[in-house]
Amino acid sequence: MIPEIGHLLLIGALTVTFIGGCLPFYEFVSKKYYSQSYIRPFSILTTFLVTGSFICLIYSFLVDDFSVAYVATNSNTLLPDYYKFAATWGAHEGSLVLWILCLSLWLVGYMFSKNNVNDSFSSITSAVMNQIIFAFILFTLFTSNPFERLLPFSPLEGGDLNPSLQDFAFTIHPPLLYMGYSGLALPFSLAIAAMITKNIDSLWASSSRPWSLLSCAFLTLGIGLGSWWAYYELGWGGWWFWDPVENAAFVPWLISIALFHSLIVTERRGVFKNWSLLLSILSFGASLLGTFLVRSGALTSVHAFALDPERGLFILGIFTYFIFGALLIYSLKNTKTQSESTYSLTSVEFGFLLNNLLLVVLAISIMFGTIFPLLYEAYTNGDQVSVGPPYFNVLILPFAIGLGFLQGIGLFLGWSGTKDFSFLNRLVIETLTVLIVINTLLYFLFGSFSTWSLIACLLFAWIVSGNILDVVINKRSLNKIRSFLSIRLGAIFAHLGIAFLVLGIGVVSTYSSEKELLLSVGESYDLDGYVFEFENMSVKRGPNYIAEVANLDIKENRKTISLSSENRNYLSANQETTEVGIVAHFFKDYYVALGENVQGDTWSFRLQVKPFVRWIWFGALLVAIGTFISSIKLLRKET
Amino acid sequence: MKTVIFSIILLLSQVIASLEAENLEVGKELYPFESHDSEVRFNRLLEDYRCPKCQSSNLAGSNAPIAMDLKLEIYRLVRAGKKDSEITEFLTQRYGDFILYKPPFQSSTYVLWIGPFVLLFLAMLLVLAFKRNQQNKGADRNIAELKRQLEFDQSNK
Amino acid sequence: MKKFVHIAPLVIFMFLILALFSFLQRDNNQLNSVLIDKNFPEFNLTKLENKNVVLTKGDISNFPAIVNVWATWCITCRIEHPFLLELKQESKINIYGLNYKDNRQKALNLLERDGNPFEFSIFDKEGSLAIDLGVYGAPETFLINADGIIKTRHVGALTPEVWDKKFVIHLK
Repeated sequence: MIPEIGHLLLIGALTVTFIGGCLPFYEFVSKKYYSQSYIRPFSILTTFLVTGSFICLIYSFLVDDFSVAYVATNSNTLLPDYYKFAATWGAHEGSLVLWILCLSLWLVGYMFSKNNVNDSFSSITSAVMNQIIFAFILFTLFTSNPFERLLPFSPLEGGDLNPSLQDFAFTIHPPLLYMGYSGLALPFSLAIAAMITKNIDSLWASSSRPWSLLSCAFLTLGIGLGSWWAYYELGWGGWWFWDPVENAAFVPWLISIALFHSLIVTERRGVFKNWSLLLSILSFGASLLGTFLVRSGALTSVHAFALDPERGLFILGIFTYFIFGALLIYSLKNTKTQSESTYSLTSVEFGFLLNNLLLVVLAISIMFGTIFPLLYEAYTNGDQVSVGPPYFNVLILPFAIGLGFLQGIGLFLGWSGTKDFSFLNRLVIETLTVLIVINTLLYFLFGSFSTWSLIACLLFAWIVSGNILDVVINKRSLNKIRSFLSIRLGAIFAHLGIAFLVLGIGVVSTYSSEKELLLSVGESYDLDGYVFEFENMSVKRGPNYIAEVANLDIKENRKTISLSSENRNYLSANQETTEVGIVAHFFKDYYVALGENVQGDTWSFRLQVKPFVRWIWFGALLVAIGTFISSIKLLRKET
Repeated sequence: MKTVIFSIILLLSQVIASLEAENLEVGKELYPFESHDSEVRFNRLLEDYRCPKCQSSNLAGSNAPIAMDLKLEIYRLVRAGKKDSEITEFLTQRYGDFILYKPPFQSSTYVLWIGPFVLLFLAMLLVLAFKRNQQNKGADRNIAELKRQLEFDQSNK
Repeated sequence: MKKFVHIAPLVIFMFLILALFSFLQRDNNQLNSVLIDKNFPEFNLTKLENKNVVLTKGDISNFPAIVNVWATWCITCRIEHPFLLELKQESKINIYGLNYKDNRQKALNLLERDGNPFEFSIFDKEGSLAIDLGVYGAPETFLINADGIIKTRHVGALTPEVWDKKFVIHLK
């Protein structure tokens, strides 16, 4: 009964969004306005219907209703309740309902962010959002219905949630990520509205900016969590692999950053209108493209969803309709403005322009590199090639340096042009100071220098100097510092976040230690000064698994740290996973992955020491905090 | 007498056993190397080659049987002093370019390696061309404005 | 000039859609073999059925032939096994086995129990010949044509459909 209700609610939402997606356009074109106050109530109704449907799905999981095919495939009676809850979005069909829910939340958020939504601009925005929601519901109902039933013979027991997904980070990674992906629909819709109602102006830019920032914040958290999860779950100590699914999230993230920077310029100076419009379209386009790549089976990946060309075709259709439509409107519109303010090459406008360029070209290059193997195979009629980390790591470096450079000087440049370049001297001195401090620290901790980490340290020093250090040193008066901070708080957090991220990456890439070896109980190994001792093996029973646990002691100087790594056998599907043993410290992580039982009491292990790896996610967190702060500040100004 | 000898042996064996317990044995490396540089090279190579069987993983991060076999093979080749290019050749002869995570730099992949920078360069050119165009228009507008001002002043003399 | 810049994204987008559409038509989930149009590689391994007999490339001589990579731990191999027996009966083509990273006795027991479609099987305990063939799992099947050239490689169970589609054409 409940699944049927869920199904019906979704159909209801389909109907409401159909009307909500068409009516405002009809009104705008025919100039016949109905009781316009319907768009806000409609958005609330849609959200209720979708939420209700989602709750029905969750309920089916929690009561082990295996007559629902989706529940039977992805859940199990032994699964703990909180994972049953998360299994709702553990696979393709359910994750789509989550997508739709996120879209509805953004829509209703927008509706309540303004006092008055009765103008054509807001109603067209709402209409586009409704169309997007409609398209996704249509896709779900037609190709990926989570409420399909296995009747009359429903299984007594389900498959299981993939063991590597039975994990805390997994439960919150998709919702955050989807909030980010779907959030970009709002700047997209606002851009369409601006073009259609011919309101391409500062007002549009200022209303679009907080939503771009907020989407970026969610994407940052989602990507950061994904990276952290991969680190402790996959067992080989890596945290980013340039996997197609990772790139599918990284590309929209990059473009969204270009977007909200470009919107600053459009809002303040009335220029970059075309850039801002195009970026609004491209960011959501990248989001849809990512969805396509991940769910169509075109690309295989560590965690691509259900692979099905029919679904791929449908998503391609959605992608084409919205992005082709948007680009068509974009090419037809006219942005001849009366007063184009000019700016010089030393202006902050030009800095933002370079910023846009670097981010967009990087994003396009990453996307190109991701689909290149497919293009290559088609073009050479069968030859296969792979594009992986060695390529992407080389690609991103010059862009990172260019963007990092801009991040350091950005706050010093003036609108239209910069007259006072005295900041450069100060910046260089401050950078060198920080650089020497950091390098001394690294030498003290790890005993060597490295060119690659030097570049990372340089970027770190430069960004830190330009965003906080110089202000504190130069402004002198506490009041001035405080006012500076209050205006730029979000930006400072975000830029510092990038600095820490870059430093973490640089250090962990050059100073890590690792060793694969065999250890018998009682044996120990000295890895670059850290002594790992294999204490014993024990057995552990979990709610739905049995584990063999290896307990180790690590001695560094005089301290002893314990950690354990285990091999889990999940009883339901007889799947095995390894849980890595990690002890996290401020300056390093100890990382142990249990391997196989080679014979008797001898096991294979992979031991690692990963310096500064936490700084990567700390940096990501700062970026998310910064973008959140900025977006909330802007939203409060609007209401 | 026999009991004395027996007890001494027993005692000695205990002592030896306890001594052995103090000297903890050291674990055996799976891929031991003489030189640290070789080991670094080996670890880097494992990240550059793709596991043929996995959906998306390098040799370093995979426990698939073929990955373990290839790791061992690469280990042997590195210990035998083979250069990176020779190891790459060995692998591509058997598994094709697919096994390289760093695509080869050849005419069919120029667009991948050089494309981004060409794109950046072209975009910069476009932007600078636009700026100059805009500046000229701005200059023209200023001149037109000045002209008008002049005519206005003259007609009002 | 400005008009061009505004239309360019649209044009590029259309090319992208075409490319993405073509990706969906892809039928290939396998790694293509680079040994196509090459000779069978050299090797020096014992015969599964007799560990005192050493086999080399010269022993794979009766062309056309197929070389099937199999193992007792490979479940899919059990599924294709009946078809191999059938193939041996009907087409009279030579089928050589490559026993991949297996236990000799277990492998012999399996052939005893389920039937032996192979002229003989090469006992590749370490998987060295498999690596030289670019094998990455089991089952895999190679076709060597009448001239001794490898013409096709299939990953996965050999079925009548695959045989008709991928193998028969090279036997003409």
